Amino acid sequence: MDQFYEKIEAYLLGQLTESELKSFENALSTDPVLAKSVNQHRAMMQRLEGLRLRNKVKSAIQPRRATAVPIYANRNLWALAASVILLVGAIWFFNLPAEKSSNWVDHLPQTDSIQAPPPTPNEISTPKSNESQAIKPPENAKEKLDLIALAREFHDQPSQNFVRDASNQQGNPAPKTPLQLAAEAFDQKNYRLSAEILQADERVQQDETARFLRANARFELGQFIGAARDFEVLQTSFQFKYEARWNYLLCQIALGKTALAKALLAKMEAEEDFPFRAKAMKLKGKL
Amino acid sequence: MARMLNLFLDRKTNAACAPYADHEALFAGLEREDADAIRCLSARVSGSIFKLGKASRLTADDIEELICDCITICLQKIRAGKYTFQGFSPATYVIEIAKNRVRNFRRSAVRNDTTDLENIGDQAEEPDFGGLAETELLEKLLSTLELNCQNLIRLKYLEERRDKDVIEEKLTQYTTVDALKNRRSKCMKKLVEIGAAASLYNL
Repeated sequence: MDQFYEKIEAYLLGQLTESELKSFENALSTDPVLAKSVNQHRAMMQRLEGLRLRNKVKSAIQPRRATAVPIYANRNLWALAASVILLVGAIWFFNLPAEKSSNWVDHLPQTDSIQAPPPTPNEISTPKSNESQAIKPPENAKEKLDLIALAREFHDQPSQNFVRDASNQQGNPAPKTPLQLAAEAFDQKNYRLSAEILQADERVQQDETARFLRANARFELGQFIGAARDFEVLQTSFQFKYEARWNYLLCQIALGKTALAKALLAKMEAEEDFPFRAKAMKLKGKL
Repeated sequence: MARMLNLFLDRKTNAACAPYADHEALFAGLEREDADAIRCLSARVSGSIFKLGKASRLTADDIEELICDCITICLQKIRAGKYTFQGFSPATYVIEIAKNRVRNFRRSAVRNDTTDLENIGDQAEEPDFGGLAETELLEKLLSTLELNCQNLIRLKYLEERRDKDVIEEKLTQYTTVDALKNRRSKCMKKLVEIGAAASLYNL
């Protein structure tokens, strides 16, 4: 009887010879289990056909959806865009008078000698410096920005091959794993999405690749504390230990911990086989 | 009159519709499963189905899936010979399917109450395959098979590759058509079994 079960597909595809068809149909009329199996096979084929057509429709209409969808379908998007414009406008509007008024106050004669001591000659020549200092220490902020820029300049990003390997499914129709989705987002430079997908610690605990991806996404987003934490964990990894050590150092620089960074740099410089040694020496010169 | 109706329905046409000047040409394109014909049909039905979906408070994502479902069903009916060209636009047929699906979605007791095209209503009520939930489940079931089986089934049923070509192009490990068929029939048997266990045929 088993021979008939092997031939169900051929029967449904009309590929049996005349004699085979005759004996198959005889068996079909006497074996209810075979008949049920044939029905299930037929149903499965119909569903596979449905899947094929659906994939075809999807692939045909998806790239052009934007032109096919009426504009009112994106009403929420328009509302969001309008809100963002309003918000930006409001921020600009409320910042503008504050700036002007503080300039205006600077040029008013000082009436309160206790609260506003007479300006020093330096302050007179650069009237805005006093205001800037009151809001934020400019040197410190500039220094911070410079350090971040330096860290970014020396950041060792994961190679494109690495990211693509992590996102690759090799034609597997299975739903994509969070790592694959995150790698895909990373590849498209959507670091925020990538980091969000791998946000939960349990996602990266068992998977060094995921943690490495998250660390780099966080670095790109300027989340240096989180990135440093991930790179620190990865320093014990076999695969990523060098990149992790290097990028951990850069996180410390971005966070303004220059003393620690210098100590780490000195250590790297001392290790002759450290792959980032040349970079470390170059960085030391700039730090 | 037909032109007026056409103008009313086809406001959202795009370049994909250029080769399909009349309903018959579009139907022929759909019969061949041309990507441009599918795109043209989608452009022609999107506006109406969006309105229909919005009126039923479907989300934009659901409406997009609905459009995809309805076009898939239309193609299935054409392929099965259950929808033949009768002079009216395939867009009308698809919109009618969408109406039925939305009505089913709302669990309305009354069916076929608004259609003037009697045949369409009857045809669109037949069971169909290729809906989102079902295809997602099927994809999931397929992914549980071993990779070799997935590949064999995919080549045959999703890519419609001929067995002879599969062997010639060495797309599998099999060197003869018989060996390929033999293995694929075992894979199908396995898929049918897991489909039954997952109640796929009851959906």
